[in-house]
Amino acid sequence: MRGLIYLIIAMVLALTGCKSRNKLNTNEKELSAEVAKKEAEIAAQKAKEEAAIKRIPISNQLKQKENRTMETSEPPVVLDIMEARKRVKPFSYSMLANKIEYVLLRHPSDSAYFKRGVGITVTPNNIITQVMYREVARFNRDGSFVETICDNRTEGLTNSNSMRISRESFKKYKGTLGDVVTLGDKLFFSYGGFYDKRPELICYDASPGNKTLDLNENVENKKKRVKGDVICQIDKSHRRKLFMLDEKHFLAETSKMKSSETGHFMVMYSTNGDTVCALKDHDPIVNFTGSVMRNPDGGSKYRSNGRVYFRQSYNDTIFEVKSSNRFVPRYVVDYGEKGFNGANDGINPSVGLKDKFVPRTFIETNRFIFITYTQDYCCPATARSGSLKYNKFVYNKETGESFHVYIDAEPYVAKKTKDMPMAPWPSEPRNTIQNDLDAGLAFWPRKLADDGTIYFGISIKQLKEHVKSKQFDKAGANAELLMKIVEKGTERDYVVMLLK
Amino acid sequence: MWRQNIRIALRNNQKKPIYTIISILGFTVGIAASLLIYLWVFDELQFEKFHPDHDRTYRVLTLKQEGGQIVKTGNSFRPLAHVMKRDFPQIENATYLSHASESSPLQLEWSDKKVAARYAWTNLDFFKVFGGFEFVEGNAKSAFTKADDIVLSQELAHKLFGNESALGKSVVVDKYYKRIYTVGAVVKLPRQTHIHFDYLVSEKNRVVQQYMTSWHDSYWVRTYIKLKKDIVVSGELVNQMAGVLGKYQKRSDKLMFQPLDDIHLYSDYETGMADKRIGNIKYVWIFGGLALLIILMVTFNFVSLTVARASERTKEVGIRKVAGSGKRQLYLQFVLEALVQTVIATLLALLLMRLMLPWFEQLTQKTELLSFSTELVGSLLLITLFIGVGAGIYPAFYLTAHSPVMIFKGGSATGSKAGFTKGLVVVQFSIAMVLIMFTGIIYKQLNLIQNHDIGLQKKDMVVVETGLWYSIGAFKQELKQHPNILSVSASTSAPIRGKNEMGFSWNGANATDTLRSDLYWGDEHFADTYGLKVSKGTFLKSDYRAYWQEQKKANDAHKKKEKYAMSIPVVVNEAFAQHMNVDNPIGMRLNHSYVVVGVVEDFNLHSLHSKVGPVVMTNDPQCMGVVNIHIREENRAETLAFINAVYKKHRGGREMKYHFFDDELKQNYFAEFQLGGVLIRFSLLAVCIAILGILGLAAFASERRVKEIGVRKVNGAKDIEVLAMLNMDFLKWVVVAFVIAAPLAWYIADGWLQNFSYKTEISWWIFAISGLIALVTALLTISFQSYKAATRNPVDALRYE
Repeated sequence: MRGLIYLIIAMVLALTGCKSRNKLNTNEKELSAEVAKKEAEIAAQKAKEEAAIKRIPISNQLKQKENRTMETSEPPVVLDIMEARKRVKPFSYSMLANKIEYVLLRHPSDSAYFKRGVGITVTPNNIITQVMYREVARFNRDGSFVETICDNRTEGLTNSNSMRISRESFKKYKGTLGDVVTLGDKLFFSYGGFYDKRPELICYDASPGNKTLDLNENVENKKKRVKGDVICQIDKSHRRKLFMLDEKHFLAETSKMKSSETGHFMVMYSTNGDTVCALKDHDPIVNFTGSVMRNPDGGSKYRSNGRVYFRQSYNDTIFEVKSSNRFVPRYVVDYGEKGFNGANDGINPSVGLKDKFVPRTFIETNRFIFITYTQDYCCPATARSGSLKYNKFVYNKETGESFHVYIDAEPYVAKKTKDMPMAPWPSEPRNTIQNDLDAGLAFWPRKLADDGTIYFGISIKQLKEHVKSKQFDKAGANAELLMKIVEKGTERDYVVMLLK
Repeated sequence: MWRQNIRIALRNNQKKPIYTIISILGFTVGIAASLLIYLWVFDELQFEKFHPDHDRTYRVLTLKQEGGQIVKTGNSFRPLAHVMKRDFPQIENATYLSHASESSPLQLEWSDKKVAARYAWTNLDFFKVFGGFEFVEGNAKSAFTKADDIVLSQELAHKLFGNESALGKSVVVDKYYKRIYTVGAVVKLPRQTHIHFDYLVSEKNRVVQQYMTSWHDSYWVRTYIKLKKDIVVSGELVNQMAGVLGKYQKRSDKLMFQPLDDIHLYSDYETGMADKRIGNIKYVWIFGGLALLIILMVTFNFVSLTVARASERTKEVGIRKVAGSGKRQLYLQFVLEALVQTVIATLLALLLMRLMLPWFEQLTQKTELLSFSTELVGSLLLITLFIGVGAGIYPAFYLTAHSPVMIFKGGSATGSKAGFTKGLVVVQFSIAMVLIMFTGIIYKQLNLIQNHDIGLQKKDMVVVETGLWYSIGAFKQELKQHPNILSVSASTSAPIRGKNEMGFSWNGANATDTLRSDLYWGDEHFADTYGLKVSKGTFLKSDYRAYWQEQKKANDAHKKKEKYAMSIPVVVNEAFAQHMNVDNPIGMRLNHSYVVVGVVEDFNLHSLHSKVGPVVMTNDPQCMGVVNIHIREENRAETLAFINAVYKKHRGGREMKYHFFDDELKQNYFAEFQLGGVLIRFSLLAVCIAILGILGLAAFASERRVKEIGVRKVNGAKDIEVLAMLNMDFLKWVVVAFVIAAPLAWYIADGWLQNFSYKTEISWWIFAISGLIALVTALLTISFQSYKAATRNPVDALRYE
């Protein structure tokens, strides 16, 4: 009987020993849980992105009449600048975010590198860099390089750090003609030559998992050296200031100098070329015959909390794009007696603006509105004369509180350098916002991702200077990380700072 | 001493030839059956072991979320092998196989004869990872010297070149465009591998190069890695490898690693058509358990018979002890007697096994099962030894336990152990009855499978594999001219083969919900051909022309930068329509491009292992791979010859590959049919062994009770009363065995039936019939001996007393 028992045990052992020893054994349950968790995160992120890009109902009707009346149930919020000047208090990062993350963008050696003029756009899954007239590149959110989307470099532009472009290069140039705009992970940009009457609007889907062949192997776009699909052709005048409402509709702003001819300052188009709605310019520049003029106010178009807003240049009202022809005033900036009479005064150097407030930037975050405005027109002359003063207004959307961080502050004027031999343009005063979250630098919000994340681009040089400076708190949060970044990074690299 | 003991053993075995024959017969049949099963199990366990580095080779599996569930799959990514080898120095080689989804016609340059063959492409590490493939011609170095070199399987080489050498010769592939390849090598693909291909193309080839960087996972791609020798693998490394996809793709997918040796038996995931010969470890367990049961039964037979005859041997034991024999010597004696029988039985069993082997190979669809190897010889010796020792050791202990004084005083050697022998009878009959009951339920289930109305025409349906074929219209038209051909239609594959799923959404559905549904392609004649019933609207009406027209409209609009919403007609089944939760789904759009034109009654698109799920059907000429031909039952051969001739005419002489739909259905349940076939035969065997056991016991019992029977008869007992008395002694234990077997069989059958979504009922009458079979066979067996004893002249019986 014992023999039988041994036989049974031997057979059981033989059969149970059949499964091979797995050196690469993984726990399926744990991995499944990780997959499910990641999927849930992706789904939540996607839902967030969808919410961030709220679909504006745009009807198929063409050339609809605009409606810019206010909603009586929700009248626009008046931002009383003059009143708020009585309250000046500091502002710090902890009012905006809980932590700061840094992403080091390592650029491959054969592409344009970041010496100056880098535009950064953060999308849900990418960081897009744009070096004007040189390259549009795509990085993962962890900073690893993914691909070059557009290589603009032509003869005379290769690896030059000069912003000057020779006439020959100008003629030969074929590349991006304006800023890259994004809709989620989809990139849109105008593309063509400087002299093209009908440049192309290109869309490239930089969604995760989507990476097309290298530029050199892209047979179709071989000559173009750009990735993406041409979705339509646009008017030359629209190439720099496009704003995508969705994949099929965009806002195109007319140059302020030309709006008197067309009668419109902005038009909503579909990618079929149809005019959905044209917004009349009630403040066109007329009868200006001067040879010198001031730079017109750029106005603004932005997306906040999924909604699209715009401000016409020299206009004090911020409108929300509610549907294809409904534009609802949401905010009115009241400069009181310090305001001036619109565009014609704004551009005319003979109209003095010494005692007037001139709008500079309007930034809306999830919780705040930041308005930067100057007293007098911003230019080297006014900076030299001392009449130029900067002011920073803040409005808390949650509490309704409005105040200033600084008023009548001196502008920041950079020193002349070999690269910049001309008189540098004045800019906002520095160090007017406090970084109380970590040992890093502090900047005022200028760009936001669709989900409301505030981000900045910093050069390695800038960061290095900060880390070496006396103000750098070696014991502060992220200090070690910043020192590592500075140590690891080279001139070819860039750093993106995200406030979360 | 040994020779002496063997001589004594032989002499003792000769003394009672009937019992010896019964024991040897039992052993022979049991060992032969166990050997056959052993060969099958051994074969199953040998898959992939012919590769020299099989123990450090792994297949890469993907764990991903699909339709709200986490799914494990063998599907992989073409660039994965390359990046894994690059990123992990612990990996010595990495390769992949990317199978073509359909076959291509191959021919020799100077010949018109075309052979359909399916290729797979791979990288240059393939033969480094799989070093066990035997090169019939050429070698691993010559295999892919140039970009246009291919490696043929031996089978394909034989079809193309016959007995001539194929090495260095040109082969033409002329599917969409002509390509000329050179044979770089010919390999033999053994049966014991899941890998299959007709010919291999390397990734040097320009045709496949363009797809190399695609990170879309593919149903047809499998990735394999081989670790370096003696490498120490840490948990962290495994985690990094498992998460490597995240570096290259923004996906949540994770990787798992399955040892190469485990693929055949432990693939607990949808293996798909890229893998062949995938088995299941549970059947190894079942058959292994069966072999064990058989061995136990024959061993119990011997033990119970020996113990029952103990009284005949006790005097011998007593005398030996008195003469000075030690216990060890006595054990050895009895064990040797058992061993002698076992050795004889083993030799006979080998002969029997050899005779039964062809039948067994046919039953299990295996070939070359028997190959003499050290493992086989060793296992044989082990089985013989263990059975012999196992069978002999208990009687040895039992018989030598009695003291000589007790023996010579006349004490019974069997009295206290009568229960033991009866217990063994119960066990044997329980095993036999469980097998019969389980077999009955399996056959009931198989009957259900065969007769279940799957909602499709099963019989007389010829499925011809055509691959992608746009100009199929003329072929279909010509076929329909024949009076024996009732209907012809094209589809992506025969129903139940393959699986393609997609998410569908529609207006009215929750924006975040998509219904994951089967997507199946069939043409406008599919419903007629397969007898699919339309419950609402109409079936697909449009033919290929309408499809291409719609595509053209969409392309033209795209060029003009205009909007155009395609309207591709689809039909859905009732399961899908229910999910839509609308009164009338006709006219509704799915995923913007599809428009529902009809609803069909539910049909089983997959095997009965799974329930009917939602199905969407559409007609896309780019997705058709087979032609389904419904023929008349009569004159099959003539009809098939006609189809073959027409096919060759329309396909430039290409060889036609076809099968019948009901055969394909049956093949889907091959494992279950195999199990049923084996079980029914082994159930019979188990019953025979049980009968042998009870026969021996009954013979001995009636011998022992000769005096008692004589006395009863002299006192007036009738023959029938004596018969009944003798029978009842055993039959009551058969009833006990039934009581034990029935719930056990129910439990096992219920567990097995969980594999199916459509289950048969576990009917009471299966148990009743099984019990009846056991009772009747036992009764007949016992009655044979009892009758002899009951009808014996009492004078003869009492005279000796």
